[in-house]
Amino acid sequence: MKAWAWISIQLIRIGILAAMILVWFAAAYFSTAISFNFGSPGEVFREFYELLTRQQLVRHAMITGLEAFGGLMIGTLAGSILGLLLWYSERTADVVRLYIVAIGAVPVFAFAPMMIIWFGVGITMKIALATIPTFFVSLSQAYQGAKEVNKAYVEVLTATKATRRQIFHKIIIPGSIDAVLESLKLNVNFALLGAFIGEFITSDRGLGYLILKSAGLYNIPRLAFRTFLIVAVGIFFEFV
Amino acid sequence: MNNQVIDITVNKLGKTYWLPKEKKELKVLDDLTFNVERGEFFCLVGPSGCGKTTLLRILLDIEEGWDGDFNLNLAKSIPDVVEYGVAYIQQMPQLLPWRNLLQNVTLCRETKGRIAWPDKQGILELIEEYGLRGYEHFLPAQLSGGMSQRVAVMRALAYRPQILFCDEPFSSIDFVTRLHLLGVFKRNCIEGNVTTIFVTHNIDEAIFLGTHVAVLSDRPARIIEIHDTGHIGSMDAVATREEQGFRKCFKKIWEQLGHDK
Repeated sequence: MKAWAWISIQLIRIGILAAMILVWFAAAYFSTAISFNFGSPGEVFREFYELLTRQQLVRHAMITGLEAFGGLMIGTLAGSILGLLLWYSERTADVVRLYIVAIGAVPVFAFAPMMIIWFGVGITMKIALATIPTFFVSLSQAYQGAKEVNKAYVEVLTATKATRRQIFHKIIIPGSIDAVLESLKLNVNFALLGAFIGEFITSDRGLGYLILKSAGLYNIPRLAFRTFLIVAVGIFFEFV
Repeated sequence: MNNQVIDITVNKLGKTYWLPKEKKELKVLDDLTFNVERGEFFCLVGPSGCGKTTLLRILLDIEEGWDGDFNLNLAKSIPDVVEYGVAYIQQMPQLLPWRNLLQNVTLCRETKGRIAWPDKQGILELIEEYGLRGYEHFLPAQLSGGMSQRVAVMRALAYRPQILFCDEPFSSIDFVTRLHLLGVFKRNCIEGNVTTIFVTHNIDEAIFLGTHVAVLSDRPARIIEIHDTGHIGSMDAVATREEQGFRKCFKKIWEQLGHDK
């Protein structure tokens, strides 16, 4: 029964995709306005074939993936560790919270010029831009997670006069693993966004660069296809 | 056993909650005074919601704000001696879901340092005594409510406390198993020379386990009488129920709890 439910869900998903492509195909065939603004499925597929055979596709996707992945790891790790440590001192957390909210609210875009000055225009800059938002998301997620660990668990150990460090070690860290993993999932999107923004601002490789270039050339099918690639990278991260 | 040392002194302890919605005070504990000597087993029986749990939480320093005073005469930690400190058995077992049964039992004991061989042996024997051998690697989600409660009891005993606070630790264990476990628990506490405060609303449990049984009134809780029950009962919960003294004491407490009307 379960297997059957899974299969039917997949079938419906594929069906919707096929229907959308079909509508697109028909619309592009009958209307030049649509074929100009959206491209047509055939052209988009030709783009895919061309990019794949010229062996650029995998390389560019890998670069964008690497930037996002690097930022994701650094940001999530550093943010989670600091967020958990904030549990130690409620007062520090209260003081720091305002700053976290303030800096966290700044759009990544605003950091870009500064990152270019610090790290140049290469991959490091994009990793940095992917790190910033993920760091703040993980920081608040991990702190929240640590604070929300069941108080009754903690009371078991406070009764025995366990040190704060023992409680941190035995209850808070394992108890907030879920929150940390949750933030990792949230961060996939933020890391990709950071990497793309970096590539949009200045780059000579990566998927963001490809999109920018095809937009500059008014090559709509190419642009459409490359936008799909981002979707693909996002889905890839989501499942890994 | 040295029965001259007083481990727990409670003097005119009171607790009043402020209810912000109703804008009035709610008195839960009123002028409680009693002493518990080293190795004694002090039971508190009283109607539900009369503030028994609050009393334990005050003694544990978890609850904030109270009147009167209390003192726990705690031994300092001495190298190579593990029988010190306070342990608390909550009403709910509160097992850590990511630790298996054995790891949950050792949780509190771990805060005293590495568990060497004789202690490890003792913990395994404890698990055997409480009938959970073979379940050591089960996670809390796989255990029944009664089993989880037994794990919470073992977690406190494995800590080897000097003072033990219990909040209805046997409430969700089935009757037959409970009669058996009460005997085991009583022996554990006597052997460890543990000073215990045991909260329950089960009268026969209190008479069997306790050296003293304090009967509390409805809210605000006051002590109606402290019965000396040290002479009643053997190590066998079933045999104890047949004793003359047990029945007399049971009836007395029953009446004091207001059920004679």
